[in-house]
Amino acid sequence: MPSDEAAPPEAIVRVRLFAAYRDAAGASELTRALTDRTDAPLTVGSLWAGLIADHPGLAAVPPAAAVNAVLARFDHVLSAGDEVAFLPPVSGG
Amino acid sequence: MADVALTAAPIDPRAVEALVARPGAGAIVTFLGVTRDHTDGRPIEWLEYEAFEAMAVPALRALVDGVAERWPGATAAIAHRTGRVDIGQASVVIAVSAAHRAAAFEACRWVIDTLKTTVPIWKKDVWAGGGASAWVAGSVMRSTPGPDGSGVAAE
Repeated sequence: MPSDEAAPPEAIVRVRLFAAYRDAAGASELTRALTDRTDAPLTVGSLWAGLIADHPGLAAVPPAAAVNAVLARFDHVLSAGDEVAFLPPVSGG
Repeated sequence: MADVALTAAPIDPRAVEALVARPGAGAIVTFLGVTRDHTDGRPIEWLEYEAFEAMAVPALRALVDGVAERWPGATAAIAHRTGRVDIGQASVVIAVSAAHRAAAFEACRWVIDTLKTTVPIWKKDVWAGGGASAWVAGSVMRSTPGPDGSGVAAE
């Protein structure tokens, strides 16, 4: 996945990481470009694959994902400006 | 206090109960989840809770709504801590009122059992002696099941 540093604001998605994922990536928020090298549409799953490539520690536990604060499947196609949250197994209570 | 709350401050169980008090209620069941001083025999200094608030508040709301749908006439309120919670304090308080005790017990049990898989909150054990810590293994998050069992799958 290319660096998003030069991408215009409308061509990115925002990523939020919580708990163990935040620790593994060393960040609670990231941005990623909306298109990958193949120009295939970015999905939740391909976004996660790219994040694991950058931060192998993320692969330790399987995530749930939410797009704009609603649970989403991994084949969900992302749009510009979406906020994608990756949620490690929850342990409230 | 609202009937659904995330708070960094200690929770007063009586305040949560007051939210569900009704003239028609014959029972109020209150559950306190309390921070324990050990995990698998290892001493714990305190617990640290983190919430994805934008999703956690609606997920708690879905539990309150779920009680009203499944146990007509029953009313629930939930308060959950965030941040550091010292040993012996309530990390979560759930109060349910109903006309009769059976529904109040059942609904309260359903709320805490379901909360553990449907609300994006995470807890970390901070071990005694040196500040080492570990996120507690949990359950893959799912949506709150509807009265007919629907809504388990994402989207």
